[in-house]
Amino acid sequence: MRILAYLLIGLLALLMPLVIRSNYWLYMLTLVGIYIILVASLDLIYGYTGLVSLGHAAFFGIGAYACGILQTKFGLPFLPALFLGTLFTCLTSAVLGWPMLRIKGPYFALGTLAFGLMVTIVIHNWDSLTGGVSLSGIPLPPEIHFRGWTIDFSSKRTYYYLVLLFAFLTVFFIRQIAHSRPGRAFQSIRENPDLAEALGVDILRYKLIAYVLASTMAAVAGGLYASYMGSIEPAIAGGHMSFHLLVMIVIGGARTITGEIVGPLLLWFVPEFLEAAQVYRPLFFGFILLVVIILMPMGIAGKLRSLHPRIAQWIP
Amino acid sequence: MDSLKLGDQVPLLRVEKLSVSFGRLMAVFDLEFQVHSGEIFGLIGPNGAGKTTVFNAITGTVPLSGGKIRFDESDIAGLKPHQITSRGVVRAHQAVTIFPQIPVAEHVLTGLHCRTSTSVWGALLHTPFSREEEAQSQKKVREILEFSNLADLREQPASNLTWAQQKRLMLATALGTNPKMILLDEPVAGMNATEIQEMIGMIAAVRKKGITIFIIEHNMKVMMQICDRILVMNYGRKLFEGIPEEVARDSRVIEAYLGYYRNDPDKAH
Repeated sequence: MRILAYLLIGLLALLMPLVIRSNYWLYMLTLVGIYIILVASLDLIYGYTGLVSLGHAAFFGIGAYACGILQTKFGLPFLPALFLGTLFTCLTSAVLGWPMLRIKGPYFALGTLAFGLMVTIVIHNWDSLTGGVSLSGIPLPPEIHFRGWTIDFSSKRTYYYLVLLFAFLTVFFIRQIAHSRPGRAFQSIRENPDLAEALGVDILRYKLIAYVLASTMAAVAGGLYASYMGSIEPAIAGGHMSFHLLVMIVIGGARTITGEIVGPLLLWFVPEFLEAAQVYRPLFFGFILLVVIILMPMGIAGKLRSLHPRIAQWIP
Repeated sequence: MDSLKLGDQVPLLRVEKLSVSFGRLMAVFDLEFQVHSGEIFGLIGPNGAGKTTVFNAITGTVPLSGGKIRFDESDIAGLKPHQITSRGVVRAHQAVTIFPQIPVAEHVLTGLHCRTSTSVWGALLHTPFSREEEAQSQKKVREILEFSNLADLREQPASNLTWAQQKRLMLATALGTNPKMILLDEPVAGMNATEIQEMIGMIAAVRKKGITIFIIEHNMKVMMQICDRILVMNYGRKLFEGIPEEVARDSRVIEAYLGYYRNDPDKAH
């Protein structure tokens, strides 16, 4: 049944651009796709490994800036820039995670928050490299010519599919890992680190693996975002953004594919419909969070699954 | 029991002059004992005697202040807990330390972690090796769950289990690490008579597999019944060591437990 649900979601996502003709909504959906990569990767750290990170966006920001800078200041083409920018972020997260992941509970959360703050400040003040308040002029990926076909990334539809591909890969990878030996190690750390260690799980090692993997995925999202937007700002690495991501996974439902998709969709689109009431957005945001935490501690996906085993079969 | 005597002379675990202190408090002081391969060795003592600290020292969760711990001919003091588990000593924790949301079968699979090697890449790419290893693991888990009488509960989250089932699960999970020695921390605490008998049966069956058992338990009847030898601790030191019958007769042990000599009626209350 869940396989069918996967196919249904996949099909829906593939057909979306045929239904939606407006470029604006396609643009919004593409951003949701980028958020799905971020939220799914955060799920690996928060949902599976049980680490509350308030600095996940920092790696999104580092990835975006690294890719952007490599393209604008060093003239690298898109793919090498994406690769090197992601590699750079991957190494940064390893260097940071090594000391930081020894810290437990709320102190780890605070540490990651502080890191996010540091990243935004550095980006903001290192004008010569980062452009200060914004880095602009990041090009779109070049056209691809293949046997008479041309893939042109300036088309909103094409970029949507590019992001969709990465979002699919991210969700699929995480799913694949979750039900394997390393995935069980992650989950044992979340449930009871002392017991995990007593059973022979090297907890620091596995926390680091989860952290670096998730950060690397966030960096890819950053690279895609930078090229799509053309210009980026330091705020994308900040605490506000990280907090949003955490809210999305909590509301959607941790450790579920549904949650990784519904969280970003809901929190991205529902406020969109409240456009008339821009000022009340944060209020609305807070309200949903409160309702979900009280009524559905396992998020929307968790709640749906708990309704009936038949329904649970359909919620991946 | 006769078959045991053959292995009696091989010390699997050798604890020499073990001391553990927390600040100025000496929790364990100059403790010496050996656990032989194949035996069921008991550790008893009043609350605060330092029993659990001995387990913590062996499994590497507290640092030693002095002494040596040799397991299977090599020094394990100073190793990290997960490294000690790979060497073959595992502790079956008290039931309060399960993974509450994780299904029964996955507990045992987590126990198999240190005997398997599929990496993130293997899992990601679903390599033939990872599939083969996963199939082997699943098979091993089925065996262990059958052995532990938990096969019907394999899909249940551990928090749905009864207390006694959780205790059996902890032992099953420990078996997953393929240990040479299991440290059992109060395996029958809080159980009724039937459940106790079932646990005793399981412990005996584990020993039959050739796994040495080192056990802390307050239930003296159970200890007298299953242990080959018993070490009695009081105030962090060794008070007595011997076979159960000797322990039951020893006046120092009785004093430590009850706080008076049998022949001193004045202190009886």
